[in-house]
Amino acid sequence: MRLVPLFFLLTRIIYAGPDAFCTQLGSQMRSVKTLLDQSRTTEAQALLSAASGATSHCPDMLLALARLRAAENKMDESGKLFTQFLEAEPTSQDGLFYFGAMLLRIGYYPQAESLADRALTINASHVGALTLKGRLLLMRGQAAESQQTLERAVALDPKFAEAHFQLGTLFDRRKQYESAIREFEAVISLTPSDARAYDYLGLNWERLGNTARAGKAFQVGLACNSGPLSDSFLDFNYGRFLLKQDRLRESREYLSRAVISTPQVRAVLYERAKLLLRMGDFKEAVQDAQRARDLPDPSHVILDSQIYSLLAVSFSRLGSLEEAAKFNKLAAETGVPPRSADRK
Amino acid sequence: MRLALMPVLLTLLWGAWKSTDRPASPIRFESGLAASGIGFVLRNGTVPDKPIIDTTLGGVALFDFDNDGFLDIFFTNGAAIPSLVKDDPAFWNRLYRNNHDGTFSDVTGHAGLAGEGYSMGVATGDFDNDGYMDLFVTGVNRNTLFHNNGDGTFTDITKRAGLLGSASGKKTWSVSAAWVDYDRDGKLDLFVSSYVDWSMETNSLCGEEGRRLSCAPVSYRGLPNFLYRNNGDGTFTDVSEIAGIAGHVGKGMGVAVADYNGDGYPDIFVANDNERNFLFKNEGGKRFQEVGIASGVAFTEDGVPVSSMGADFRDLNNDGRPDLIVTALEGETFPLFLNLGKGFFSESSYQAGVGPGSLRKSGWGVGAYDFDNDGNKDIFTANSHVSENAPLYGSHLYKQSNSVWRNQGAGKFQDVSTLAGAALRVLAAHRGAAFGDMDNDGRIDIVVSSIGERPEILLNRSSRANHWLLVQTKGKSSNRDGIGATIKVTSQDGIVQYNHVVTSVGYASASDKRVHFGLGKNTRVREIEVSWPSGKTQRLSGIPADQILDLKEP
Repeated sequence: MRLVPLFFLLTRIIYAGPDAFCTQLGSQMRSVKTLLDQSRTTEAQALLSAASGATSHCPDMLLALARLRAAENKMDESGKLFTQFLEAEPTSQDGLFYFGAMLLRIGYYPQAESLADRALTINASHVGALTLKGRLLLMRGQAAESQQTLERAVALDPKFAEAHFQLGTLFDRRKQYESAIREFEAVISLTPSDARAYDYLGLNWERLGNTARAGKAFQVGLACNSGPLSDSFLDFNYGRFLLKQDRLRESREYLSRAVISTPQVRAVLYERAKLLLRMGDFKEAVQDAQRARDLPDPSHVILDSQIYSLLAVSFSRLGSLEEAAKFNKLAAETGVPPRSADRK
Repeated sequence: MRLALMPVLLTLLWGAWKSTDRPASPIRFESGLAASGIGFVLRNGTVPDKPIIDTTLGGVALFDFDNDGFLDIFFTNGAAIPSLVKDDPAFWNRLYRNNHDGTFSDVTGHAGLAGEGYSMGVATGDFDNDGYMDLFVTGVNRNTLFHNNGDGTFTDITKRAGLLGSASGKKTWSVSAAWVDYDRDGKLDLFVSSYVDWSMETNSLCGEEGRRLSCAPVSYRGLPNFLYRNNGDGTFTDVSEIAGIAGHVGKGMGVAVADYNGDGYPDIFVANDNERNFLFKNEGGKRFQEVGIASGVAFTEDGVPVSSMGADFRDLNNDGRPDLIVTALEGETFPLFLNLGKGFFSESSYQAGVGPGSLRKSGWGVGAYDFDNDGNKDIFTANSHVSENAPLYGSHLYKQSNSVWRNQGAGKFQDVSTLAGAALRVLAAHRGAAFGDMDNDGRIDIVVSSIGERPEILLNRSSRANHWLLVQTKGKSSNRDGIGATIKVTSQDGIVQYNHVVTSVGYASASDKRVHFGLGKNTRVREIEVSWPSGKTQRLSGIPADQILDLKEP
């Protein structure tokens, strides 16, 4: 919402235009681009600071700054800079792509798609725009088209990590775990500090039953879980994984960290409630489950019936039979959304 | 000289390398099918629309119908679709008599057990206490009670017995059944699980034309289960309503029976497909209370139902409390519910080691038996995807290999499926599994049905270094089979094990009623304690191992 007024700024932006000085910055800006592509924002910031001041009107500088601000989650500022840049370079495929990617991050899906489409109209082989488009297609449920688009991006530039990452998430969603692993490993080979990829890698190894590799992936991901490629659910996923391995004390450490970092997520509190039940801390399990129950869960990740069931068992174990019976009834009566009719 | 020895050494090294390539498991099976003479093929009569019934059949029984001391095999079979008629002998149910030499003879015709309709499962028990085990066959729209006449023949007495199986006058679809003396009056009663309200007229279509899939049960309404009380005169009374069973409607598949809370009365677990499981707690033999949720067996630890298929209800960690192992479908894992005592269970699939190995399998038949006689019950599951056409929609495997998990002690399991012999690596559309010692060598064998193929006869060829005991109970004031008797065995080294007499095991199948104990290195049992359904307790001491012990109720 905050970003919408930015579009109106377009008319008010005064742009001086490139000059010879800007041209001289070419090699420096290429370095900055590479650093930003690798999410090495601190180094990119350092290089940009050295070149800032008089050169801040240079288009490449504007684009780099816009990307940097986006990486720093300074979306308003980033939007202004992207707008300035596109005013000067309206046919820049990179500019359209990066701005589209930023808009997608903050939920401006139609605008993001519009920019991706514009970029692809100018250059149908723009890998970034293809990746953005593929991601948006998947969000719309067009999995086959998404896969086709993302695979094209990967084929055009096998070193573009984000295309591998998005293709991996597509395979993950389609339960094609081996294929997902292949893509996330490709991401990691290109961007060894991508904690998101380690998280997904762990999840997919886990689904394949390879707990050793899953655990290793989570651990490596946690060791590099900072910066723009950090993953706010790594603590949760590792804690949940440890719970399954019956490593309860370690699980508690990570799930408690997850509760601190993502206190408004129902699944996180629910998972810790499960752990506490297993550990015999029934009162605390009830507390977490009740907190989870009170949180909204629009995506239905954790159903009310799951929480009721957990409360029924926890109260039973506490000997609070009246409360147990109440939640037992609720668990039995609260429907579970039907699964697919197809058995495939 | 040295050079001359080189080829020999290389051969030895090569042999050693080959043998260490796949380290052997203490549990080994080999196929006995070729020698068995069994030609039965489980035929589901499938048609392009893939109606839901064509995936859920395949019950098997291992029981000694002629009291010759050797287990015979009964296979249920499908029928033509849409007629649901066994219009060809290829659809007959089959009874194979054990010839005591690894071969079997088809005696179906003489026995009168070809059956009618689309059969699903089978339960074995001597309901009239005449010394011969009878058969109850479940199916679509039709259940059948076959009375064993004791002369190698059976008589269909379903109608006279009052077991036609209908809910509110409507025909039903039953999958599994269990003979259980729930009121401990010395007569076996009958529990029957019901699946969904399906007919050819209401058949849903799933998947795309030309590559149809089996529909999940969400497409159909569930049906109430049945409990029939044995009147003792060859008839039964439907007590489903008054006993508190009929009010709980699920989509019942496997049935497993055990006294989970140690009150002396058998309790009944029903594995529901895509619905919460039921645990019917027996309240003094008068009625049942459904306690699945509060006890912790209705859902997985995640609080969600799975596609429960088969179940076995036995003590997996030798603590005297029956635990539950349940098969489910790919992506769900096979839930293992550990009995914590005081009426509570905890789903412990991952902690027990069953989680990872079951995640990519779809399981049906299941049994917890001590295959290597080391004193710890292991787990076997019969596996296959539900839908024949599933591979056309992705990387699913319709035909799957079976699984065996070795209990390493204290209820911790290791998946040794790939190490247990080539017979365990056969890919097929496995369904029911029956467990028992077919050659009376003290090692539990397995018979597994497979849709569209001959069954697997898995002869246990695990090491004979360990000792064993098979206990054959014969009730007097209890039911003749002794079903429901709990047995506590204390071996010489002080290790205590528990088991109970039950025939309803796994998915739609019936297993050897004799109770098996692996004794490890113990050549004697210090004490056997039997708690009979009648309430009597019997103790024997100093029992030699490696025998089939006939145990008569005093």
